[in-house]
Amino acid sequence: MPPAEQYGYSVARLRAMSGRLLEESLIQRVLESDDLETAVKVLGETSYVQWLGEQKGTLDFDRVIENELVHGYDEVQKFVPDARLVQICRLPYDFHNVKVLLKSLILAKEGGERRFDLLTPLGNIDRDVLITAMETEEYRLLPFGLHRAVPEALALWEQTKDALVMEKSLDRALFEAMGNLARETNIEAAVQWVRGRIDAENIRNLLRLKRLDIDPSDVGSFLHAGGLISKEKLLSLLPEPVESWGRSLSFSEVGDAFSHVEDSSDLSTLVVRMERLLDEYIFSVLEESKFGAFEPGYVLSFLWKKEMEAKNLRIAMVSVANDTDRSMAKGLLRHV
Amino acid sequence: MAHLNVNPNRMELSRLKKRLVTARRGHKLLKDKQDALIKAFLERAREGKAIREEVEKELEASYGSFLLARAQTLPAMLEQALMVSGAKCDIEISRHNVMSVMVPDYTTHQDGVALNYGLASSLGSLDVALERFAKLIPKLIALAAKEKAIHLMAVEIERTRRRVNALEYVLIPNFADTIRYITMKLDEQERSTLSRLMKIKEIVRSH
Repeated sequence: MPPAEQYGYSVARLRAMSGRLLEESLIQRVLESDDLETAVKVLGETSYVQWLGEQKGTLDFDRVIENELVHGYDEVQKFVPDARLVQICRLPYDFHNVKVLLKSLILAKEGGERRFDLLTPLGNIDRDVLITAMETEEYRLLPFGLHRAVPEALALWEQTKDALVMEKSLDRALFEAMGNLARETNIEAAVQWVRGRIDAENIRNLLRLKRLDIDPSDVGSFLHAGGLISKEKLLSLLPEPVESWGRSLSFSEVGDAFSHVEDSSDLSTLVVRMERLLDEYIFSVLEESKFGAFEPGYVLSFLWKKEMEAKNLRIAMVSVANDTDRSMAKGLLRHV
Repeated sequence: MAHLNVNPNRMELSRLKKRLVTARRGHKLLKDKQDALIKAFLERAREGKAIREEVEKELEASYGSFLLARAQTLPAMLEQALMVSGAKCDIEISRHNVMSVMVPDYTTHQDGVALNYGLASSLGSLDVALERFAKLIPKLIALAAKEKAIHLMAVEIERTRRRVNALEYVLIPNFADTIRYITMKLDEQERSTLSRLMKIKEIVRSH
């Protein structure tokens, strides 16, 4: 681990950069816009203005949001002492790209088309490198455990022809890779944050599977190891009503996320609500890094804020574009 | 009303009278069919409207859930999750006869599970949306069958209405006019023959 002092510059710079993050009032202004053009005009007052020129019409706001996020990651990666902190945050996008390429291979064999347009530049691995590796089946040089995860996923597909089995194996590899990267940094905040993310993911999955009424014997395969809460403990929650999950998890901070859950009769609404609360919980894991001048955890905290900013902006823009109920969109906004 | 271009003779008159009787019977039958079709059509249209309203309401809720998923994730991630489908929907088509209209019946069979994507790269609102869409498909198909039946019946009503109108306002009046024309012609011929005979009788008597 680089000496804590090395993070002094990074943290100071990130604090300065956090001034450029969109404030809640601005997101509200976007959300209250009458039409998409007005919303884009509001974005023109922010750091997003530099990407507006690349928009192919007002409906192409996803490109603007993605470009700003890529720019944010690239910028932080340039000066942060340990780039692995940024890599951890970008890892889900690498696995998304891998899934796109694997599914493209499957579809191409069945006469479908390859969907390279679904690849995102947000990942750590360059898209062209990834495409070449996948097309030539040269997986051995792929980082983040992908050299093992990709052939394993392909073998599972060949054996089962079940995309869910393949995806479960890749999701497992994703959280393993995140845990490994965090441990390699030797930064306690990063390790705790990844463990918190795994917990949040497991609880989210548990809730979704409970709603879908999946066979309890299958639920274990959807949960990931490495969190602060054991898989056994989580599995024991399944038969219990969701209202009591908070009490059962009160030994962990994630239990606080359930403090607002009073009625679990409508699991469909609860699943959507919990996604917001768990995103906020992931941020709260880094609460202690908030004030320190040399805290490596602040890097993760900033990047998660940036992710949530992108998410909030997308919620607001989609709501304006589709002229949906604004109060519903407000309920989805993450407060980090 | 114009009469038909026929030879005014008794044979033609007899033939036309038979055709007029047939046309009147056909008109009555078609009129009855039209009334029955309209009754069945209105019943189905009412049912169709109720189903459509229900489906539109559910469709709105499904799209609402889908929009929630769309709003909270990268569109590429959403599309990636749905690239490989795990469910299959087969449709069987059969037909039954309603007032000589072959109305379709669609039966759906859904196999597999909608959950065929990784949970890490998707959202719970997507599960909700897909579940709602999966439940909606049989209703959508039923609505399609109902609306197809309504459309076919509307076409049949229109066709029957044209036939009824053609019989009522063209064929039957034409036959009636032609019969009247032939009758008049024959009467005239008879009168002419009678007067000729009387004239001949008068000439013969004077000699």
